[in-house]
Amino acid sequence: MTFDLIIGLILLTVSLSGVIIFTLWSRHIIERIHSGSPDTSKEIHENIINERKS
Amino acid sequence: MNEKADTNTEAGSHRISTELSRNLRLLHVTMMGVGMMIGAGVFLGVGNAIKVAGPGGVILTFALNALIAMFTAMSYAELSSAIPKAGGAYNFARVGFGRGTSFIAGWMEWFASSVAGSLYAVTFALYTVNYLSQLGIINAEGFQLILIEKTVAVLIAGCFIYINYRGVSETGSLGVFFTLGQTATLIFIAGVGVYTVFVDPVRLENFKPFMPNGWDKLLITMGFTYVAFEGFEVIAQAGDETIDPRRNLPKAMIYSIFIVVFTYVGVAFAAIVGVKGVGMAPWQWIGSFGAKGFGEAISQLIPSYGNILVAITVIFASTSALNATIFSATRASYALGRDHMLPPIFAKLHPQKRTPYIALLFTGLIVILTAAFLPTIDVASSASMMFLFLFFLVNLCVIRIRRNMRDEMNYGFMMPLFPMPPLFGILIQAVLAVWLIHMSYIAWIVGPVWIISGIIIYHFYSRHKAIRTEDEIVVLQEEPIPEKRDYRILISVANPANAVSLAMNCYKFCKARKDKTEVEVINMVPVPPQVPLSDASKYSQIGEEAIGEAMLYLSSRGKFGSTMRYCRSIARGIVSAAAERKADLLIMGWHGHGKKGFTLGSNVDPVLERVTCDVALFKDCNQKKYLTVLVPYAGGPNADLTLEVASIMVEHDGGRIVVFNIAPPGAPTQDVDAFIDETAPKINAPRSLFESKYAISDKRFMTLLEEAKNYDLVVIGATRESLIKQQLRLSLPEAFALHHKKAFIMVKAKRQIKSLINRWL
Repeated sequence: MTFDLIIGLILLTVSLSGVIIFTLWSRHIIERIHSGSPDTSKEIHENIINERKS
Repeated sequence: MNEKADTNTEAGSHRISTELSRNLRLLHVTMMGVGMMIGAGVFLGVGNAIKVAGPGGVILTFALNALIAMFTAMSYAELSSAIPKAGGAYNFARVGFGRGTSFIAGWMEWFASSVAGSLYAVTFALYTVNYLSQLGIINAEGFQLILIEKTVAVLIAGCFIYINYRGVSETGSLGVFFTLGQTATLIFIAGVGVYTVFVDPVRLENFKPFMPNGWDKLLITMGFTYVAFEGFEVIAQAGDETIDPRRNLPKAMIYSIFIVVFTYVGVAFAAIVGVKGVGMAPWQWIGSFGAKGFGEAISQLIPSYGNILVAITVIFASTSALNATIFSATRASYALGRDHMLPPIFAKLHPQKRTPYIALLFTGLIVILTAAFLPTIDVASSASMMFLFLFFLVNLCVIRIRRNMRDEMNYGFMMPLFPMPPLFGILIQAVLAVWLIHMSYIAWIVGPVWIISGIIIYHFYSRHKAIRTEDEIVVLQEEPIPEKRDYRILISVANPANAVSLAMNCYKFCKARKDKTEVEVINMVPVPPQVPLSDASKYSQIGEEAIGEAMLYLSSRGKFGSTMRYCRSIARGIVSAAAERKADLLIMGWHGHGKKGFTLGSNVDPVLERVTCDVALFKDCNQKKYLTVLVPYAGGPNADLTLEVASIMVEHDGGRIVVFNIAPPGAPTQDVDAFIDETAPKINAPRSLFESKYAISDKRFMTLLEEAKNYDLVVIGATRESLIKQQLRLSLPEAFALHHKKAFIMVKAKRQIKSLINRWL
């Protein structure tokens, strides 16, 4: 029972955090693209990869 | 944002450009998605899921489903930002894989939306009948109760099919209002749940045992409730109508998931902790009610008004989602018919109603048959399964398009961690679809049979008949609004009858401005929601004639532009066109009579209230010369514009403008002469044109009406009161407009302050 509860809470935290992180990350990408800095999809993609590395 | 369609039409010798009216903002499209998601999944899902997976399972079901849905939402977001055109999965598959796969996508989309519509009809019936039973109005059990529920489901489905046939399903701001209301109610319920635990922490014991039936049951309930996250398709479908779609569509998809996941987890939590003292484990008690378990639990949580709160929320949520799914499904089958992938009869429009009634008829059959003959769990499972298949395909599309066509696409959003999200999405959705067989084997018959029948139809019919439409899948290029040079006038013409008189009056404004004006003649072409805006050329005949008439007059007098704008609502189309073009003045005609529920009409009222530039509304202004013009004056923000319009319209050689003030007995009169002295130089009009006149009367309306009979033209300022206030008490200018039988112009000066909400958006 306790084990179920702990696993459950971990899964709940991971999934809700995942939703929040992806929401904020996606918003950040959209705003960056529309701020006009990168021109091509290749540049956008490279920027995303560079951000992940740094 | 203004996008030009790829076709231009001819009216006479004049070339008319066409464009799509974009007036859905980020809030609108986000709420469209949220509304579709909240439509039924949470209400049916809580009871059924808790029965299978227990109290911990139901919370995890919604949370984990949201994370998986987020992967698919990012796929939809990326594709919608690159291909922001109505059509959703059908278009994505066309670009990514070609005609065959796109047919299957459209075929699945049609069925998925139709079955989702059945689910909403069933949800409506279950909760309505349950509420009426609690009130003692319905006393039935067993088969008799099921029969009543099915009958109500069929009736409500039939009702909305009829509404769609009439083509009057208006969404937009009202839809946003309802969805905000539903969401706020659910958040309130979640808040009550949290508060209950705060004052009575023992209720957390309701979560014991956390997963009573084992962890494998989680996959079953996740598959079953996945339909609660199916709102992206409707957002993608709004691609033609959304302002700045490359930015707003992806945002709306991501935000809608964010909003619903916390709402779902909150209400599921509230339902579990709401139950106390029922003689058995609370999760078993909720599960024993099946689909109605959520309502019963909330009745325990809020004993005084929980019943009615849930009933009202379900009624609004399910009916608005039912309406949206019916026109979404109809639009999918219409598109298949239009491209000859199904017999062209599917694209046939009703001669009077202008709706695709054959496509609607077949959609209605699917909705009604599914709602009538399938048990609730099988309806929900079938809907979930079809959306799982559809999303599976969209995840494949995003990978393929990014791999093969990345450099050709103009992305407004590119998902992070590519290709992991769509790959995870594909994998987990496949597992959920397989596990769904434990919830409903019927769904595993219905879904594959529909897809296989689609493959057969494609192989033997569509492949040979389909018209080549690859060239139609163009990514519409956004054209920036040209830089404004000078005074810009927009003439909204509705029909050929009033087009020439509006053009003639507009020309007077041009002359008054000494040709420092840009004029554009615009016609709004309303298109029913079941038809994509990009197919709206079928509705444009009257508009072409009207623009043709206006241009016949104007084209010999200078250079004027003309546009036909395809829109869902004429009023919203005009308001957004004026805003996009940064118009200084909007000129419109008015037929001279009101409409029930409105003051001056269903189009004029909202335009006068919302448009942000100056407006001049013309009625019966067909004369070339006006020698006597009356301007009623009571101060206010429209006064200067009223005087300016009067000075433009009056014949300068021998004409006169009388500025008329009526004061009640005992009240001071306004100083009309001072007003004229101050305003005439500002509007470059000779002072000698104007005269002042005063009257003392406690019957201002009758006095004005009598006085107006002596003039060729009346120019009056519109009220600043809101539409709601006008419904309660008709203001003087509007009352005058409805009763004055001769020519008049109603003007309204531009608003200086936008509402807080508009600024926020």
